[in-house]
Amino acid sequence: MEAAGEVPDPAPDAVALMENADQLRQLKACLEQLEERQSIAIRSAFLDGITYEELASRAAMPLSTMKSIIRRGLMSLRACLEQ
Amino acid sequence: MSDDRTITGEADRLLAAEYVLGVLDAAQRRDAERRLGADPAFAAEVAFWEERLGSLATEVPPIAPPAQVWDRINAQLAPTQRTRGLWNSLLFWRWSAIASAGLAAASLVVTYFALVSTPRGPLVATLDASGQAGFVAAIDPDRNSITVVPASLTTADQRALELWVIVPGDRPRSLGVIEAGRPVRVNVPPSLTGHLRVDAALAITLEPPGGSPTGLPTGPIIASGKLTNL
Repeated sequence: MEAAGEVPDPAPDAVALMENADQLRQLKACLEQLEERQSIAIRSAFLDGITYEELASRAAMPLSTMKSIIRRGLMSLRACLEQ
Repeated sequence: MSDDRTITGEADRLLAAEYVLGVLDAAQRRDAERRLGADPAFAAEVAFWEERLGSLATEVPPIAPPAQVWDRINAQLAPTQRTRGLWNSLLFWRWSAIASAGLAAASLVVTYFALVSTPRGPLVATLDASGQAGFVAAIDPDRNSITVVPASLTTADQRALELWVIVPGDRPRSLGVIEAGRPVRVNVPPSLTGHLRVDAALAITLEPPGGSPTGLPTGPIIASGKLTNL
């Protein structure tokens, strides 16, 4: 039944949800192992959907520095997620 | 196969990650999309990152205030003289808050309890940063300690809560780590007793266990409030 037209409930697959929760837990654990600025930069990039240039501009740092921070963070993250 | 192909492999993995992360510019993005259709290994790498990073989007974010909170504190501290330069170094750190803007923030109620009469006027400050968390901070008359009482903190966040004092023209100064679950008495170092004055603000941020490794806030502000005279 319709419940006052709010809180849409797509009834997601419970298994998929649990897998997602596991992945999120692992991702968060791995993000925490990164340098703080790497973790913040990667989260911001993903959640805000912005490019290297915009990230660098927001952080008032050179583009090359921003790229380096994120790339090193991504490689560490990749290694951690594969464990 | 990891000998002479290592460098290429790493560059490809990075490109896939950058593509999913969305940090590439338009030209690089088009390149990646071309690779996607032609290179199954690259496509698999993209799928890996989409699956992994995608879970971030479903994350229930920790309590984090709108990014403007520091700006607002700053504005309250110095209504006539803007000191934006002071805050620029915090830009990077503020992003984590930007990401969660619009979600529940926090409120900090800072109250000075005039339990003992004192030549200095009692200080009361309330600031509602529209949120879930609330603290009461009582500053003792000689400014040697602050008692911080959590009022309604409902976070399961494992990070430490760090208390800061901010005065105009100075960077945030740490007063140490407090606890979400019980009242904590924070000793104020002699060098900072002078900071506890009418134009100062207190703020609480989420930090790695043990507190900020840098001496400056690195996590989102979950509560803040300005000290004012009663």
